[in-house]
Amino acid sequence: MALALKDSGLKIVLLESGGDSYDDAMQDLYKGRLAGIPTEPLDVTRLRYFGGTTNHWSGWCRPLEPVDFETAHPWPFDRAHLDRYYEKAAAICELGPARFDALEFWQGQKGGEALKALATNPDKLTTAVFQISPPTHFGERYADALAAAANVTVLLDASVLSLTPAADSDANQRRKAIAGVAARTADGRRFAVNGRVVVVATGGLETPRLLLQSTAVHPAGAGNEHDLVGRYFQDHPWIARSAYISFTRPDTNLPLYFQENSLPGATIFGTLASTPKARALHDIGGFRIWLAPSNRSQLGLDSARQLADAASEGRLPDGLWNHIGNIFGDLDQLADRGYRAAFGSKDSPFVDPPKPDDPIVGAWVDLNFEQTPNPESRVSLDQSAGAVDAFGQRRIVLDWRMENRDRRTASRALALLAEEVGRLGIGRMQLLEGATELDKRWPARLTGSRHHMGTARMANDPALGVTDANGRVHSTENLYVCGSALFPTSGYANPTLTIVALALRQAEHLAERLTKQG
Amino acid sequence: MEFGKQTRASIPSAVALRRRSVLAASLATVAALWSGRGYAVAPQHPATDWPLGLDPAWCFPDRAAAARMGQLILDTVPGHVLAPLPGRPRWPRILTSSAERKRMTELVSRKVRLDFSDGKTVTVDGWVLALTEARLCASLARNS
Repeated sequence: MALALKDSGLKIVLLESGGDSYDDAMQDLYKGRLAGIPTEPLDVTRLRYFGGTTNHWSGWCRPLEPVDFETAHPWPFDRAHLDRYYEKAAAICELGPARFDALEFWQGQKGGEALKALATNPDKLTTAVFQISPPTHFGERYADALAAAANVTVLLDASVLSLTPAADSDANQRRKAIAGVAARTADGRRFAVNGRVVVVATGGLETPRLLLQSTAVHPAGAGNEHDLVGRYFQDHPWIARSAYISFTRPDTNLPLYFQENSLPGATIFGTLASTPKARALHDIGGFRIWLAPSNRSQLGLDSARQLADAASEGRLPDGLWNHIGNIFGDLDQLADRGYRAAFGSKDSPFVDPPKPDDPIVGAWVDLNFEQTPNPESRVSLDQSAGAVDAFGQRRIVLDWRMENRDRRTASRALALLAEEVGRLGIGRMQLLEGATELDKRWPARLTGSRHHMGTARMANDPALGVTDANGRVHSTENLYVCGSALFPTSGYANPTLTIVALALRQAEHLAERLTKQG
Repeated sequence: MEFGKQTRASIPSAVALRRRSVLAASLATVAALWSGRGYAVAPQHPATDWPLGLDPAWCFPDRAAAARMGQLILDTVPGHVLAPLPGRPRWPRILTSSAERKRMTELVSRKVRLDFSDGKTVTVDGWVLALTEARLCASLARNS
């Protein structure tokens, strides 16, 4: 946003809590408590230094789907409105052209000829192409550009503690205003930065934290007149290894779905994803599925088991010589399994890591899906004794929750995949441990994707969202939120590209508003 | 008949189906029709859409694997999902020509694809199988 405003004539001060590299003490400020569905620790999922969490970003990019904007929790605008910002965002994220699903375009690139999509039933599954950023670490990549921007000042080691109300603003006013922020350095020096507008761009967890701590603006926290700040927290639930597909043909290769494909000017990766029709028919959220190729043959192990079963019953199995051939072919796998079982080891001297030219015999299925916005899924300040950080700020509690519709999303996603795998004759799919009981409980390996969204969501109605269509806090004239906290829904796409697109859109809005005001 | 959309059953891991068994028992069904064994052909049963003369025993190159899977299916999948199982052929006619075998291959293959397309599946030990192939295996287990 700051760079997008560099030629606006506006004076911009960018406050960064951390320094220009990782620091344990600063990172400690991110610690918090998990109260809901277990997920990764809050100081692991983000980074607190210049460039923020993009410093460990994996680079996956894709716009949200049009249907994501039109659910029971609508965005204040439609997807088409964001299209031109997505194009600019793609350039900022160092992607190729924003032609994500135009497969014929990618196939026309050198090296793209082999990227064939599965002929899935478009009512059930579709191929969704992601582009992979280098990845762009924003702090490192754009530091020089920021330094060169005459109207932008970057302050490192400037931790914002709270928002300060304007002198004539009253907590009881319907429309409030803020003067700026109260901040401090790591060594305790305190200072204030005032501005005509303040933009909070601190992510889906820290944004509600800062708003809720700003009780001078409103006793319940800035923008929290309707008790919405921190609610509707969403992540992309992720169930790795939720199923396994055994291929009919033992050397099935689906490069579009199995690997990052580097083409001139772009790197793409295909996933299998929800379709609007399937979402409507089953009342489910969006989802995407990664297929990870497996080249470990199971034939020898299975044949050995069958021989043992048959021997215990005092008979010879059908296809005896086939079984013997399988066992000899996979002796190394059998030795590996025996060694690891005997010594409780993860590795053995019998099997090398898979080689790229080993035949692919199956694929692991990783499921990542959209959760339903839920007001009980929330971020709040931890009021427990001692739950404060080194700066005396309340830490947060993340109570991540999902609901029955989310179970349906996960189980239907896997069912739709199994049906399509069978219909297309690719193979058969086995739901793995935990994935057979998604209607009863979440598997232990379910986790989040480090995508924290929805905690200051946009809505036209102040009773339904903290912010308006421009990301301005409804109740406060000059306070904006930027980032994934704004998302009313989360779709299945990684959020970064949409975060950047929204920031560009907000930059336009701010330039117009503040330039008009003079 | 109402088919169980994703009817699920859990079984002890000790008798869990192996990938090899599943592939042998299900994926090879169609291939087996080409393997030179005898096949029977008959009109489809009006209620079950099942070729009456098709003896499941002839469909599997690895009958033991198919029968084991079939037994698990019988043990764990509600009977109404599978019923009525195809019985032994009443008036089988041995398929001898490649044209007839091809026709039967296509019939079974199409039926399996249709099952998956219509969401007519059963899940046993996590394996998501077409109702047709589950019925074939269950019938084999019952009649063997």
